[in-house]
Amino acid sequence: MQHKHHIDSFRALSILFVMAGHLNTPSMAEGGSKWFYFLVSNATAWFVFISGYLFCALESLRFNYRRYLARKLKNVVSPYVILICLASTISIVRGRHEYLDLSAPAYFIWSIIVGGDFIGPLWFMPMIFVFFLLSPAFLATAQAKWLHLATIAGLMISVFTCRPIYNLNPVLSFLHFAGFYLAGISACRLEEIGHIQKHWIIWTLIGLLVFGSSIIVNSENTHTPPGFMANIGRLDVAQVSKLGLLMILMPLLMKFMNREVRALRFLASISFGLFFLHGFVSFAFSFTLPMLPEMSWMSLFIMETLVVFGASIFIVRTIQKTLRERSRHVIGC
Amino acid sequence: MSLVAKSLFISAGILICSNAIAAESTDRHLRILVAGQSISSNCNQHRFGPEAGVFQVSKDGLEIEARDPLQWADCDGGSIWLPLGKRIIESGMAQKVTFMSIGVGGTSVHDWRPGGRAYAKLQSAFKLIEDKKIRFDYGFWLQGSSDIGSDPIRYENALKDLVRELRQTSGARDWLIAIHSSCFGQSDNRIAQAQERLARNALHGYFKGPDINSIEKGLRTDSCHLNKAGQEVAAGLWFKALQDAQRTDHVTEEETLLRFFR
Repeated sequence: MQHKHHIDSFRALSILFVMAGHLNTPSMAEGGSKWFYFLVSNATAWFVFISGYLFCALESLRFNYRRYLARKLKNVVSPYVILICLASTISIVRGRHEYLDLSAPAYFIWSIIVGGDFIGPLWFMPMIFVFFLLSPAFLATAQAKWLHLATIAGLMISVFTCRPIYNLNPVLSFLHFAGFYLAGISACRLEEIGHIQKHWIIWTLIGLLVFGSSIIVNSENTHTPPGFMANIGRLDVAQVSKLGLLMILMPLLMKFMNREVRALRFLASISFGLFFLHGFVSFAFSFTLPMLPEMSWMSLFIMETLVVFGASIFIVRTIQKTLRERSRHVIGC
Repeated sequence: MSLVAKSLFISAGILICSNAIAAESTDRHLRILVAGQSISSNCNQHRFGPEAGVFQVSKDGLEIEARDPLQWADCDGGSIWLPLGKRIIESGMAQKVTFMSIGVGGTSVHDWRPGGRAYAKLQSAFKLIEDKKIRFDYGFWLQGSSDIGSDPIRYENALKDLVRELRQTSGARDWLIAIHSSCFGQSDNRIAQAQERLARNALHGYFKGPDINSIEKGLRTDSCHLNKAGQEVAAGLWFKALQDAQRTDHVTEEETLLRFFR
């Protein structure tokens, strides 16, 4: 199969957005953070989209459920278990389980099942396991005539629900993001028949319309209670904005960027490791915040950006160089 | 059954049951620890008399009828807590409510840390709480205007440390943090934002308290402390915040699957 450079570029953009969305210092800016987080938050939806796309592109012709799960166990579950055990142990040592009224063993098991409350991004892994487990159903959908209808229905659920509270429920997260997984499968199928390449202008214009609408809605957006169950039927503006940007970026990347861009390919190649590890770096930075001299939020923002992005890339590369092939089982890349 | 299958099973159960919010027990005794500055103490205008079912922790650790001025709090005027207690009893949220209000007038958050001028009182309250084995259900934090102009990050971290200590000693896991950063014509939105940021963490027992800044000038005596109507409005806001906190706590426990592990 021909290498999909545009997916590499999109994956690189996605990880940059995800990491930016997890920066803490913009929340200290008076009023301004609303638009920053609107722009960068929820790029996780793009990761789910890419998973769906790659599932369709790589698995649909030679799918074997047992082999597929075994591979995922090695490359995704293994790093997750290592890192969640590390995070949970640190949490228990710091007495964090007591805030949740949990015993240490209960906290440990709960963390493994939901992703824990310590290193934010780890919630993604229990959710993506649900996608892996249901892969035969997605394969059947990918081959069905009603694939695109299912995608539209899935996306409606995605934009008219919100994330579960603190993302700590893999099944509800799955329901919230499944539309983007299906969208990835649909995009893969449409690309196969040359539809997106041919009609890229239409897709981009629809994307602009969706994204523009989300900007208008966000400017009037009021406080919403957190959670999935409390928000069924409520428009998730951040999710809509990511759908709009996805519809703008993907056709443009397919049309004009289906060639290697080394920096983006490099970022894409370590994106899984960055996803796993940047939460630890982000925590370490927030831990040092009180020790830093008083400075403006902008200075802190620049410092946090450099530290989180720089240190995460450095740590991933160091682990890769040290562990070589085995690094995939530890940090996923 | 594998761990993943179990989690799927549990989560599916939650999908079905999560709207069924259990009714609050009506025979409940609520114990509330209050800390903060003058507005949380007896420094407001009107002294409220006793109310059926509303109690306070006395200086020697007994549970006695509550009446303004409350024994542990500063000043000799009135508080917000008597009208709040009345609302709690009337609503059926609890049959009995006990307050221990240990506020100290004009204190910054750092005054509650070692070496600060509220620290000795805090320690003496802690000693009593431990000696008498009093366990609180909720903590209320009503402070902030004394920190106008200070660094919000340091404010937030100092408050986090303080609540951690208060929580360990008092047993009150759930803390309601009021928005209070405006007094005597001065206001600091960055302190209010720090309070909001901290209170946005229901998973770890921080809940949003009332927005005291929103209480208008006509309900205040000196553009800061409250007159009788202001005290009643503030009590109403605390009651609403307490209801919201209970609801949020319940939904959080359900949706994050914590209920199955406690």
